[in-house]
Amino acid sequence: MSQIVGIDLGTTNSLIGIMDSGFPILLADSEGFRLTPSIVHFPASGEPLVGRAAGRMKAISPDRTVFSVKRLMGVRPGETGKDSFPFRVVDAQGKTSIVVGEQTISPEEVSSYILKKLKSDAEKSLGEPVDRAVITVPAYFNDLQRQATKRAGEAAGLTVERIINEPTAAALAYGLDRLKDRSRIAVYDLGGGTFDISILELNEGVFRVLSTNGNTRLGGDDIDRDMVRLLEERITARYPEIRHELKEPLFSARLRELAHDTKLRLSEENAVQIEIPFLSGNRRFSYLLSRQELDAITRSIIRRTRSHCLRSMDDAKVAPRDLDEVILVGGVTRMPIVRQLVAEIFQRLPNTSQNPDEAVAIGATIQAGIISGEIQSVVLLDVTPLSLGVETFGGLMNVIIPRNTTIPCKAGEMFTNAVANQRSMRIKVLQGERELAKDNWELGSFEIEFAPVPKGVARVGIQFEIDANGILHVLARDTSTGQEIVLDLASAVDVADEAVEKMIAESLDRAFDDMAERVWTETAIKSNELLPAVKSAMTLVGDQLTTEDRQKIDELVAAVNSALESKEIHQLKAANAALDEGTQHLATLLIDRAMQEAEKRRGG
Amino acid sequence: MTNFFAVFGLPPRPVIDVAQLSDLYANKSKTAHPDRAADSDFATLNEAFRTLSDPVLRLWHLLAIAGVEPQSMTPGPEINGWFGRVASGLQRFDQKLHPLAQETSSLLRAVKIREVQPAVSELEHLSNELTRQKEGLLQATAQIDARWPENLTADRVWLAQIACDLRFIEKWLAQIAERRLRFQELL
Repeated sequence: MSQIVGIDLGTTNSLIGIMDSGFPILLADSEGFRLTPSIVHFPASGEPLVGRAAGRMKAISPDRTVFSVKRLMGVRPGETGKDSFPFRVVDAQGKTSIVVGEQTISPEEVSSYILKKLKSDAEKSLGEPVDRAVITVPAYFNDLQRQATKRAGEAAGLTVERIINEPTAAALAYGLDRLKDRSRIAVYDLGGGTFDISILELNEGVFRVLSTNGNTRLGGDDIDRDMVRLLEERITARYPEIRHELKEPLFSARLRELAHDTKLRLSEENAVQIEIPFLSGNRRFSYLLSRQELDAITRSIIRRTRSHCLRSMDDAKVAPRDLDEVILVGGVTRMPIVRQLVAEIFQRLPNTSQNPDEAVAIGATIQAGIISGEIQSVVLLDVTPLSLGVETFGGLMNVIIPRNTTIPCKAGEMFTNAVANQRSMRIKVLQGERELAKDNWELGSFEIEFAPVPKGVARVGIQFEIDANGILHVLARDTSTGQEIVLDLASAVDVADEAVEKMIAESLDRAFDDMAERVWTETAIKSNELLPAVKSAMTLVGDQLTTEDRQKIDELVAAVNSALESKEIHQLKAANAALDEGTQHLATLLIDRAMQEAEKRRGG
Repeated sequence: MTNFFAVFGLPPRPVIDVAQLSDLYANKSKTAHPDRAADSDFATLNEAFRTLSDPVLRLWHLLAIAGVEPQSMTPGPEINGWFGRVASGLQRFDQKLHPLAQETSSLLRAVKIREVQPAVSELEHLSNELTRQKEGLLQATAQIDARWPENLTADRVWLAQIACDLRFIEKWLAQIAERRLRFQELL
């Protein structure tokens, strides 16, 4: 049997590794790179290009170059949220598909091209065939997303020995040379498209996941998108006449590249001069983007990771002080502001000893070693991230397997006919944490038929099994007839994301078309709420600010007032935003004050 | 039904040493995990660990293997008084939290955070009282454990009432904890 490789199939980059004399090592392609960009270009004729070669085509042929396809794996049409791609994403017979030229292709197929390249690069490097692999997925990936990943592997000619969660893989990479330890760690994994947080206990070679949480629609790509929007606004302010040009696919693609590269540079530099010489006419656009400005954009996106971290710690029943380390994974965690936020949440400096781009692939390789028996001293106990259950009478969700149950696991429940001679029962399988069935996500539903018997006599046993890949298998058995049905989970599920609705609401007032009056009214309402709040906050805690800061705020207030009079929408929006940004410290003081008042109430 | 105590070779009783259980589980995992043994029943080991680690689940399991069903009991008199208090406390909180959750401006959020504080404090107060009740019930459990298994039949009835009451308290504590989390997420 051939050796098993470990593969990190990432949103932005993919990597492959193999065990060599007891150590996990990552393999390089023919140009010596360990990272292969997860990009596939489909030319009009000939074989698809994968990796860096495809990356060069992103800004030249954006409609034929597919990137971040991980965001589309196992996702229902219409559930892609705020994502907008320069290549065509369509609903083909109920399945999310991508159209490039004449071809309609599934996200799994695109991923399989990436996996094929990794496979072939590895075979060249090793001089032997590679056909077994461990592939990683975000911990918060649901059942269908995992199955899609498995299918992609199989389409690439690989036997997928295991699907393993990314933060857990990173923990393996971290802990491999700390096997005598007993410790508790958190893994904060913020990648191109997904966010995961996992809390683990390391106990002499046993890696046990205590809890996991996350968001499969949150990552570096969102920062890029908001940066592009900022640049579009600046360009439009300077050259309002070319507003529509900005939305053309080629321009958008180039702008996105620029934004992405600028973001990377701003992790090292404090400001980057952005030059856009490719505007029409002889227009030139030049802008100095500071790290501060990027931080403002980034902050509002990564702030959303905080709630997942709090929930995960709550589920694991740990407080920040109970943790020994916080490990950072994913390229985005190189940004100083992300490290700052992580330090705030966990009340300690994060551990940056692991290479954020490579840790997951190393971990996958270690898991490959565990399965092949090459590594004897390690055992990995992972969990299922979402509660599983069924809908019961009254529209409630009955949890059968709670979230964060160690896998593999199984649980069963008995159902009976509610009335005599009931012919069938429809059972909805759900995933999620809400009390009402309709607020959770439906994995699928199926019907069981009964023989006509008195009420309470028919018995249907449902068995849920979640295997070591985190993939669900459901069996329903009618105990009187012995009839067994395997549930076919046909409907795709997206992981619960309350933010999606908010995004849709926000995106409405981003439209360029004529909604001027509505937008003005909404913005003016905001100003009229903000101004008195600032005034009263200044009275309460303003004395804690420096004279300079107070003056600054007065200026910002004056700017809002004059913008209200000017009736100029862009001016008012900017003034509101500036006042908002400028009163953040004031807001913090106000919250502190509220906390103090609460303390006094508690004590008294 | 599987006796989870037997899975770990432990005598079935109301109280066990959770640290010892943890080590037993870690040791057994090393050999029973599907990566190691092709056909071990790891799922049952996981279920057993999860059940025995939690004092309330453990109690329910202890009674289940003895054929006692706490779900048929009605809550004790002290518990009855809590239904109303918890429900109205949660409702007051939810009403204040909703506008805060919708707010995007930092300063306006800060204002609304101040406004929701009293409701938060009230829930904290409820939570503390409920926790004290829970501790009392767990202490009663420990007392029963101390004389276990001398008074088996009568003690099982006591435990069933305790198990029933504990389940309600846990549910309320979970509901309050959920609110606490939602509030913290907005800070």
